[in-house]
Amino acid sequence: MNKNIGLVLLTIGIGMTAGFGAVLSPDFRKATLAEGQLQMANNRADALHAEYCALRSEHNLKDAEGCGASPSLPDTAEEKLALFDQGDELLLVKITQARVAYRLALKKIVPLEALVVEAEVQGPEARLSGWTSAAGIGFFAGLVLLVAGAWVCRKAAAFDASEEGSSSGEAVDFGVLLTQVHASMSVLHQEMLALATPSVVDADAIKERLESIQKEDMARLCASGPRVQSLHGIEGMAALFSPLSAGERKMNRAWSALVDRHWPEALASVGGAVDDLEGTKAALAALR
Amino acid sequence: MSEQLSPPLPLDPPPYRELTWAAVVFGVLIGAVMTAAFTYVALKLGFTLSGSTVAAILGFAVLRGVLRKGSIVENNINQTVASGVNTASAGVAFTLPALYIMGEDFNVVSVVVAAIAGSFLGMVVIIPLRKQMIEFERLRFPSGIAVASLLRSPGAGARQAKLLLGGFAVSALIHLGMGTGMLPEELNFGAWMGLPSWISLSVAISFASLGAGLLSGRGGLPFVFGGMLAWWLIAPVAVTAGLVPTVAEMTAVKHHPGFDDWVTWDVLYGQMLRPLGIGILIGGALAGVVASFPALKSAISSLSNASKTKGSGSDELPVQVLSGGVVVAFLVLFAAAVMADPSLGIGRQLLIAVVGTVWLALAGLIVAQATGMTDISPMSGMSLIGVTLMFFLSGGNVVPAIILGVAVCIGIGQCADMMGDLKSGHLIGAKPRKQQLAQLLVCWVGVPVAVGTIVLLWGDGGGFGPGNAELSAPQGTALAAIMESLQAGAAPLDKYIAGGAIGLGLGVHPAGGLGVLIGLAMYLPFNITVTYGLGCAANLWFVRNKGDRWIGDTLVPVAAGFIIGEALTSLGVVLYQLAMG
Repeated sequence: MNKNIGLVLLTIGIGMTAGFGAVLSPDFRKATLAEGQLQMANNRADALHAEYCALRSEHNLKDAEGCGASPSLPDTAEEKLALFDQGDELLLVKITQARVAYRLALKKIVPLEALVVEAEVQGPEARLSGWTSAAGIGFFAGLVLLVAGAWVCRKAAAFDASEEGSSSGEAVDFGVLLTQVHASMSVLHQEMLALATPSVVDADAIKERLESIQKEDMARLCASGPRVQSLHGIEGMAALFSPLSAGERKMNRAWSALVDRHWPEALASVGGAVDDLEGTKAALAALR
Repeated sequence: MSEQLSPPLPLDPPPYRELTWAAVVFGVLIGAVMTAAFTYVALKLGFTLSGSTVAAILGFAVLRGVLRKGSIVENNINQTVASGVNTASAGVAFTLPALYIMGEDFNVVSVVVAAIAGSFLGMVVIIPLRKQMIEFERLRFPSGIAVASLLRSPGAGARQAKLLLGGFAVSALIHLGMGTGMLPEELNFGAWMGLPSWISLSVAISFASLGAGLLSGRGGLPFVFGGMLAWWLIAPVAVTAGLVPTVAEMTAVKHHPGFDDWVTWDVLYGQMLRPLGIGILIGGALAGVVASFPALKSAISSLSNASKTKGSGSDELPVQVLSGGVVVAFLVLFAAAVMADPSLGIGRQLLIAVVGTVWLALAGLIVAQATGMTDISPMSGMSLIGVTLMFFLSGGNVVPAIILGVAVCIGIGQCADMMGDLKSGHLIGAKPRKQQLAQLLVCWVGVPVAVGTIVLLWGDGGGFGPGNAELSAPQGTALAAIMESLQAGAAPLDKYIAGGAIGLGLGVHPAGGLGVLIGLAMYLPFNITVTYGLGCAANLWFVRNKGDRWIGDTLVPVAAGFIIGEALTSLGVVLYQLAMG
């Protein structure tokens, strides 16, 4: 129940903080509106220019005024208009109409460009204070809910872990599993030591058994990190997982060495893994 | 156990091949070629590619095929070296061109010095976190798993090899179709239903994202939640509640072509969600550092113990080597700051070097965590913050800001690359110490190659940039535009601070990395998140219905095939396009 309350608070808190956090400061929004109008006008002009160019191309006229392979048009509407004012080409009525439509669109852009220049760029501090006054209260209320929800979830997780630890015995499960893996690996190591003249078939058989240990008990053991952390704290988890992961890596190394048919390395790695698993057992005993 | 006909294994063979000259030299060669090629690709297309899979496959061909003596762990060293060298291509190609495009006068040597310092710093600050990320948090690093699957393929058995190849074939075919324009790059259900683009209902066709989701499973769900929150709640509410400019307010224009796209990408994404996501990423990472401090302490103390082990007995690099490396790299970075702009004054140059080092470490941690959890790297966002910081610290001076930005960008890349390689190494049993030594030896090599490529391509001037149809240098052009807007005084400080507070707050939750995942989801377009989420959902279904063993035996090789298939096909398509002009 506590966990559910925590999750609800957390979800509302994330939604509120992210929502209010995304709000634009009023002055910045105003500047964005000016930029948006300019963008729309540019989009419209670009579409009209494309129509004009398509008509030129349809009537096999040479590339000019930003069409086809002619030089690109300048950046501002005023410069573009100046370029178009210089044109003295005789064109069909249909093409002239398209050209005029584009020029009219450009004329509408000129004041919008001035408007964007007028809307001064808001500096970082001004944006911060503008945003705080526009959305600060909602944001901070959301932040309180978020932190409260996360804290309730943390307490609930710790409580769940301690209950499981005392009743079903997650630590015991970890210990039992660890003992099983250690025993299996010790047997494997002893058998490898007993082989006087190991063959390729022996290497493949050992590899299969190693894979079986890795994929069953060892994988479960390594996946139990969050529960181990809930039970023993982050330091306890680190004390256990440091030798455990080293053992896991040495088992992987033994597997690679067996594939590469390097018996001494495989033997040494299995031995090293057994030592590391013993180290994990010792660390677990120290924690209890 | 022995059978009569089974050949015996040598009992006294030469030492197991791992860190060998063959692996290092071949890795440097592949890495240098990839660096030059991928720098060019980045100038042309605006993105670069990961070299790990290519290096692993070439390593098989040369070390095992031609030299007939390569081991699995030796090939891992080869791909570690090659990808470590190649990391410079992205860091240099995304930042340095901006200086040329802006027409700034700068000292190329200072760029090389800064980039080399960044490369070493990235390595030495991330190595102590190996235990934390790979052994304690057990981050997935999907591409690291994919490379490990490739390296393990000689011994994984016929069934797993077939599954890997099957996944590869499906992914390669689909991406070939996309590369040739026969298939779309996304399925935009929203557009088909006539919905505006700010209600995002599209799925990117990316088998790498799908594969990453399949490998991440339940751990990736907060990432999907973050994307849903951003694009299914905040975006529609912002538009309908008038938090963004509306059509009705645009009285100065009669026509509104492309309004929805402008609101979606320029305002909602560019001005609201992306900067907020960057802030959450930073806050989440800071909270993670605080929450996992005891484990970090344990990881550092295990490095201290390594220094007490004589010779090469320990599997970890000694802490003295790393702390010495930090000091030397910091001094080199400081020298680069002095060379970049001698007029700044010693105090400001020192401050730039200190903040650059601290930011590189934090951003490297963020990028490594995000890559570990989702396989997606927010490198450009973190580099952008780095350049912005440098810009303000240098008093609005573009040249030192970008030169130090090159260092930060390369360092961040090294962090993510090293951690991914260490994950692959863990899965095949490589010794971290040898991988780290190999990459430390060669991580500087890519810098002169990448910088040299840029200098050569620029030529006498105008070799790349917005006016050049052949090499438009999209990332460099974007950075130049950002620098110009910074010079004009624009920076979304409100969004960074709000995001940082959210990320710090999420650090209270017991699930590690929640802030990083939610921040990353806001930082990205939603169609990528959806594809990844489908992979996570499929993983959960398979876990419930097929069990964990099936996941390891079947799903992992298929997902690895998906990732490798997309990576190699993308490379092939790019090379084909470049060859065809």
